[in-house]
Order: sequence, then C-alpha cells, then structure tokens
Amino acid sequence: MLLLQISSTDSPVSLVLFFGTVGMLALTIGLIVFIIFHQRKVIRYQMQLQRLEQEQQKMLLNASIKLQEEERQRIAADLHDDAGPLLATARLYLNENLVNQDKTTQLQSIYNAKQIIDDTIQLIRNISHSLMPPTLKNFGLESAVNDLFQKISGSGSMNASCRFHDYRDRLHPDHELIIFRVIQELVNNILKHSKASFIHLTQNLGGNKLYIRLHHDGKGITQADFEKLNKSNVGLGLKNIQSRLKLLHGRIFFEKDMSQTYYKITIEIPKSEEIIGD
Amino acid sequence: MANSFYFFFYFTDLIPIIFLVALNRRLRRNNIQFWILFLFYFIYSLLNNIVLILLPRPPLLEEAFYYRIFTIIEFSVISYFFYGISHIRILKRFILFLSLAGLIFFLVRFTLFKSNDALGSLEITIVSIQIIIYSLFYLFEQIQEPRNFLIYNTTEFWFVTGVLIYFSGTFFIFIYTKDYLANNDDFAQLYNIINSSLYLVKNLLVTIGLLVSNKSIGINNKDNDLFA
Repeated sequence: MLLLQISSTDSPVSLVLFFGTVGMLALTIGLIVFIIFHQRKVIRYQMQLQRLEQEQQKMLLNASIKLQEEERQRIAADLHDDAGPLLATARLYLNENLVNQDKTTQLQSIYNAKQIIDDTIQLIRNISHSLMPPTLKNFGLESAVNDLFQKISGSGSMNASCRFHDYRDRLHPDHELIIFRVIQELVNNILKHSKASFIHLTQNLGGNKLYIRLHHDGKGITQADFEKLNKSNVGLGLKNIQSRLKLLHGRIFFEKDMSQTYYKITIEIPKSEEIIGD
Repeated sequence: MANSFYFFFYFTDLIPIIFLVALNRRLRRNNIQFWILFLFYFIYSLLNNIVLILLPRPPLLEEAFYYRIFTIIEFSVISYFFYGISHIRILKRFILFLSLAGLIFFLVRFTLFKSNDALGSLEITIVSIQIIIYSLFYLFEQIQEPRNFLIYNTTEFWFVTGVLIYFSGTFFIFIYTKDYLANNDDFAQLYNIINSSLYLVKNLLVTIGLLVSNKSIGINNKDNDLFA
C-alpha cells in the first residue's frame, strides 16, 4: 500500500522520502551487522595473541627453571666429585694415629694435608667465582669480561679477546650482571658447539644504546635459526638469553658477516632503562 | 480513523516501562542511575505522546512548546546516556562539547527566535544528526576497544541500535515536515507510517536490551555492560 501510494503520486518529495529512508535504514543495518562481525573478529584475534603470549611465557619460565636446576646439579657435582674427595683425603692425613708417628712423618702428613686443604680452598673459590665473579661487583663489566676472556685464552682452547671502546660510565650493577650472564652463556655456547678458533668481543655506544658484538669463526646460527630454536622445546640457553635481555628491553641479533667468513652476534641494550619487574 | 490507528504506536512506550518496572531489582542494583534515566525518558515520552494526541493535527504554532521541550529533553537524556557509556576520553569530551553546543542552540532558538515551524523540524534534524554521530562513536569504540565478545549481549548495544535505526529512518521525514506536514495529506500519511513503525522498532529493541543476559565472556570482563 505504501509503494502504491508513492508510485501513484507525482510529488518527487515522496520518492525522495521513500528512497532516502530506505537507504538510511539499509546503511544503518549494514553498519551494525558489519560492526558485530568485525568486533568479534578483533576479539578472537586478540584472544589468540594473548594465548600465544601466555604459551611463550610458560616456555620461558620452564627454560629458566630447567637451567637453574642444571646449574644446581653442576655445583653439587663439583662439590661432591672434587671438594668432597679432597677433604676426605686431608682427613686421612690428620687421623688420631699421627701422634704415634715420628716427627718427620708427622710433618710430612701435616704438609700434605695443608696442600690438599689449599687446593680445596682454591676449588671452592673457583666455584664461587663462577657463580658470582667478584671482579664484576668490584670493578665492573669490562674487567669481568676481560677476566673471562683471559681465562679462555689461558686454557689454550681458543684465542679470545675483547675491547671496550666506550664504557666510561658503569651501568647499574644488576644490569651488568644480566649482561655478563648473557655474554657468559653465548661464550659457553660458542665453546661447546661452534668449534671456533677465535672469539672477539667489542663494546660501543650508539646514541642512547649500548652495543656488544661477538665475532667468531666457527659454526654459528643466523636470526632465522635463533627464532626457530626459540619456538621449539630445545635451545634452553637461548631462551634464557632472550628472557634476560627482555628484562633490560634489549635485543639480540644473529647474522653471518657479509664476507661470509665469520658469525656475528649483536646485543643492543638501551642505556637508561629500568629492569622490568623492579 | 487512519490517523487514530497510528496513535496506537505511540503507546508502545509502555513496553519498556513495564519491563523496567518488572526487572527493577536487577537493573537498579547494577546501575540505578541509568535505570532512573530510562524510566524517566519513557514515562515522559509516553505522557508527551498522550498530550500530543489530544492536540489538533497538524500541529499549530501555539503547541510548539510541547514539541520543542520534548526534543530538548530527549536530546539531553540520550546525550547523557552516550556520555555515560563512552570509555574513550576524547570521545567523551567531544560528546559533551557537541551536546552543550546543541542545547545552547536549541534554547536560544526556542526563546529568542519566532518560527513558523511548529514541530521544530530544524531542531529535530540537528538532534538526529548528533545522535547518529554519537552512535557511530559508540560503534567505533567497540572496534577500537572491544570489551565484549558478544556485543549483542549488552543492554547499551540494543539501546544504541534502537535510537540509531529510529533517527536514521526518520531523518528525511523530519527534514521535510516544516514544509509539507500541514499542507500535504500524502506526506502526512507517509510521516505517520514511517515515524510510528520506527518508533515501535526503537521501543522493541530497547526492551530486548533490558532482557538480555549480561554474562558474556569478554576480554576485560569489567565495565562490560550498563546493567552488568
């Protein structure tokens, strides 16, 4: 009846009214339907992102816990296998029968026990230093890294050197510890897996960022390999590195040099960031 | 007789009033402010319609007072509602600014300027445009910061849909009322059909909004709904 009315009238106003009204209603309903479906899509996508982030967090946490346990096992093994037998041997030298021995034998036993105890002290000192190097706390990151690289060079397994170009102002001690651990982990990985003959570390400042670059001539990984390992259940050390750097809002890049002769690892850390979670 | 038939649609304000009263415990407990607002709006709307039915048609200039006051109050209530449901600060400020500007304009026009337009066609058109804009803001906010997976499980969505459909559907009608309502019977009939049917749709959609469940799963799960 409405359509008849509009079609029968000569007035253009009725036509404008009819089509205008229908058009506005169609637009409105179309818009509302679009909003409903689009909004659901957005929420679904956001929930998926949340889920992925939670899974990633869980994986990082598991990696961190596993690494902690491995570290504890290593310390326990060091103490049990090295320090324990040494102290047991020293005890043998210092038994009650010593008073019945002649003076020369007594002196010799005491001297041997003293040697063994000195070795044990050194061993415990080494374990303690590997847990928390006093050089780092007292003299800073540059000295601690120098120390570490000197020890590696001294062992004869490879040629290790480092150069800090611009480290006049020390970072916060907690930041230095995190960076030191990352460098330690990277160096351990290179020692274990790459069969490199040299490793060189450089430090620079660029704007408000601290750059640490590690070069080695062994078998390394690229950024794509790093991302793949990170997503998988292996590569706990790399996950640990990433979670430590995340605390400093830092980033890490793995690449092969353009000349294709060596691998480069670049760590980029903003200088004046607070640690996440402080 | 035909006109009397359309008057029936104006009593559809009773539908949301009945549900507001019937569900008053749940609605008041969760958001008493908007419960009072809705109740006031629909009761006033119903009373206004009753008064307008008693007035002669087409509306005379002397009755312009009722139409203009209703327009101002309706606009204020709906603007306050949109201000209340908006969560993005800049949109809230924009709504506040536009609403105040609109109110000042209406009051000035109502008090200082004599018009031969009894229905207040210009005012209603401006109100329609503003409410359509506010509705678009709300829909934009739902995309930018979605708070509910099932948006149609919220009361505010149905209210916004209702007013958006009503004001967009009657937009062209209200533009032409000034020139054609008094002189053109065909136009008058068209006006009655469109206005009354969309009025019914608006009231039904608002009523659906009062009835929906508020237990939808959202991302933030807080401030998800007016009466949550």
